[in-house]
Amino acid sequence: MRRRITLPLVAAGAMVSTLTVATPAQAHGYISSPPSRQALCAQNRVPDCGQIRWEPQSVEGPKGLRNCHANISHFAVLNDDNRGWPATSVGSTVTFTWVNTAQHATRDWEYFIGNTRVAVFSGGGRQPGPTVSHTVNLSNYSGRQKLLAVWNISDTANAFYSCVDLQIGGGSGNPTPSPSPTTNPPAPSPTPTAAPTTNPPAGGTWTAGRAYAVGDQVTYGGRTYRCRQAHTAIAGWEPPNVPALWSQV
Amino acid sequence: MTGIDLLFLSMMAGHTEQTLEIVRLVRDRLTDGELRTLVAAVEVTETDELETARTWLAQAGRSARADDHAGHGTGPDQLARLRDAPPPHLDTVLIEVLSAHQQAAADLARAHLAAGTDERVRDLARRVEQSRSAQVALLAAARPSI
Repeated sequence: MRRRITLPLVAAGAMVSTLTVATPAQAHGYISSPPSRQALCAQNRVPDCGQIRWEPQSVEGPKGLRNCHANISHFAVLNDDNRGWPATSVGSTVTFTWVNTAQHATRDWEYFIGNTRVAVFSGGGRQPGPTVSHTVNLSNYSGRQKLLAVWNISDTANAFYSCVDLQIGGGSGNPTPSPSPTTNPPAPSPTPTAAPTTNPPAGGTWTAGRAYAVGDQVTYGGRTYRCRQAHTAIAGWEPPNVPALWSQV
Repeated sequence: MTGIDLLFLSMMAGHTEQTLEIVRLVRDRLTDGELRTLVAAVEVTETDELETARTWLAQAGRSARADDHAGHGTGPDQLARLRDAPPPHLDTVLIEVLSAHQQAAADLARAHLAAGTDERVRDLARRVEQSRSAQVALLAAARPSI
């Protein structure tokens, strides 16, 4: 079913290269986790990176390069090993997540440490989704390593490059930079059960999975809400978060 | 907000614009009542989310331009399927297309939860991840009568 859009995409791919200067935000993909160097710049965890801070997805160059900045001079900071890039502590297998702002038909993804290709994943010429994850076995490596990940596009001559600094295995002296405040989304506290109200309103506590009709009343977080539009309640649609569905009474 | 938050908001805005396009293509032609109810609730909640994302982007001096989203998300062939499906078959096509679309949004939001920096944006990502995942489950459970 995706086959039908191959032709328009070829045309779009051809346009990308000519429009890149005018609309840099159009491109394309980078590794967000563990944070690549461009992700660290975009998170402001490494300062003074320049333009890459606003477009971590844009490190595009011809296929076959083996550096972190795709030979783009204004992204040269990415290839500077002396910028104090924090290394993410990982075990012997690592799951890398790409975020793709444009979903180019893909030849493959390659992962290198030094001159060794440590993993390759075929793209089958298909378009990936907005995120792609690969789990790579790095058990032959330990200590601090600079990994280069390459996303090879199948219908252009180009590829996208991300370097990720890793601290592989336990024990080494490198302090562990926590990659982000929370790797796992904090458990939602869906129903902060209201303190026993002296005057419980009709309808009871908001409950995920329940179908509500217009006019139904519930309590959530100690407040009362009236349903504005019929729906089945789900996590993420707690009354204070969706004024289109609930109004506070 | 940092660049990584703004990039997520821009991608999310583009993805949500597509959700609204999908929903508006089908909302008046669906057969199953529960599916109509779900689609209507998706429309109003994502309209608000899109407004929020656009407001934050504008405050940061960035606009979510349509060309940021070229080649992103649900393709024109999928939209054509929705446009062309006759009502008895439309429910099934929508379940398929919307499930894939909302799963992609959940995946994007989950990636941002691991990488985002701004608490408000992370909270939005958490709600997107939860609500889209729950919608995919509701769609999987929906059994069109035909």
